[in-house]
Amino acid sequence: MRHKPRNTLLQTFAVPLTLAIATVAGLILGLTGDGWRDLASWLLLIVSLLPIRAAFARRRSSAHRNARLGHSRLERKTS
Amino acid sequence: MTQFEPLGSRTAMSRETIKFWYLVHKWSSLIPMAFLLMLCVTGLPLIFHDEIDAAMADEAGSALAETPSAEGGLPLDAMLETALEQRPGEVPLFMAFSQDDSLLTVTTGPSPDADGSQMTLLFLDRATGESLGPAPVNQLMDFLLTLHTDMFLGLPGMWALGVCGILFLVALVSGIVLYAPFMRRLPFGTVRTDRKPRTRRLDEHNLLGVVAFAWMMVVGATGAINAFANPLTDSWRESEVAAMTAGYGAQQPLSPDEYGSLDAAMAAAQEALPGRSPQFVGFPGGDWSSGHHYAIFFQGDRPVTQNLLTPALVDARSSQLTDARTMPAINQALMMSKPLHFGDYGGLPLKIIWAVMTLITIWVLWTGILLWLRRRSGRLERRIAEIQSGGTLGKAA
Repeated sequence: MRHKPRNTLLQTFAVPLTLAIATVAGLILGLTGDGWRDLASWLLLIVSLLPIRAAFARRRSSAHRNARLGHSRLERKTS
Repeated sequence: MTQFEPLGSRTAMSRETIKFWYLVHKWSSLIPMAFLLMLCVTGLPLIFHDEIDAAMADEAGSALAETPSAEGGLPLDAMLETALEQRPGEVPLFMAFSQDDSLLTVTTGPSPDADGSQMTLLFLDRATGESLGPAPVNQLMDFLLTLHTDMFLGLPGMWALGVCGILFLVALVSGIVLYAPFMRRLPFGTVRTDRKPRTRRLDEHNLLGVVAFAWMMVVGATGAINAFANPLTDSWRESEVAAMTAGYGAQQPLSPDEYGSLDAAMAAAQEALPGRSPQFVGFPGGDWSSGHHYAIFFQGDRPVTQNLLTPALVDARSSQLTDARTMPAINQALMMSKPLHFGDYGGLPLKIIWAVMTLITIWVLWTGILLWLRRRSGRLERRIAEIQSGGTLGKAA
């Protein structure tokens, strides 16, 4: 198999740790008051979920690309 | 090489270590799986409990005055009398105040130590003194709530679900440990769709699990704390309340016809805790008081301490203050854990976020089941190789 560079533990957990901090900050900020704190709490929690959206959007586009590639390969074979 | 792996280390986790955490992850999630799915499915509508209740109830709440019943209105003694007229022969157990409108609730029962199933919750308007009758019952939401808290099994059911919550926390932590070897060669957010379905499922399980990790930990831990709420309240009553009321010794509990003025008691309590808003009163002989006291629970005076209650114990006969003490740390943790579990402290947007997080949790649980059900037959070694290689060796093994 290909030998890709290995991540250190810090590299593996850099994004997850940032997301966890954003989540916890959002949860606590909302508890400490109303008004702008609630707004900041919603934003932090929504931002912490964005990677899922991003990953699934990427997935869709790559699935699309793969489907197209498969299709053109099929065309080449049949022609 | 030391045993301890520094954060910058590139050394691989040993097969033995992976095996240990894999087995912990597998069993700590498989054992409570059915219960966790039930908790997610019943929890989802419960997030919107208030909204659903408001939509299904008629205009009972809309005619209320804006002055919060916690701040003022007609005398409490008169309100209590109006409530008890509806339940002749019963005794008051709780009185609760609203911070938003003039709604006041009184809970009655056949005796001071009545069981929850024998209690009646009455709605009153403290601005007009009118009785609004028994609290509207929403059978579906009540059913879901009971299923979610104790599965109709009482205390043992609550504790069983508490243990499920603790196992869920173990599953989350072990999942994070396994995330490290799995992701050693993969960038964050990898979802491989060009491989076997199993690889895609593993990637989704890891991504969604790690993204929602902090929220799942918070809701899991606060849920587990709530499951052990009753013993915590009992221990507070048996130690703290007993210490505060030591002067009463072995006196017989006060009989309901000897109860003195609640308004005088409230005034005495508010003198001891000025500027605080009352949340509820526990009457003598119940779970939330001694046999001789009105226990008046006040909210904290800042938003962050709003959920932290301080009880003032007032002699129910003489209306003289006995003592007011903050609750022990463990009971304070219990009070703080409620909003963090319910997600009801940041308006509708927070509730919607709570619902999305619950759906993500369901997806993580479901992909977990599928990964276990649709595993290729074979030894543990194959699972370990899969984790160690980031899913790429799964097909080779």
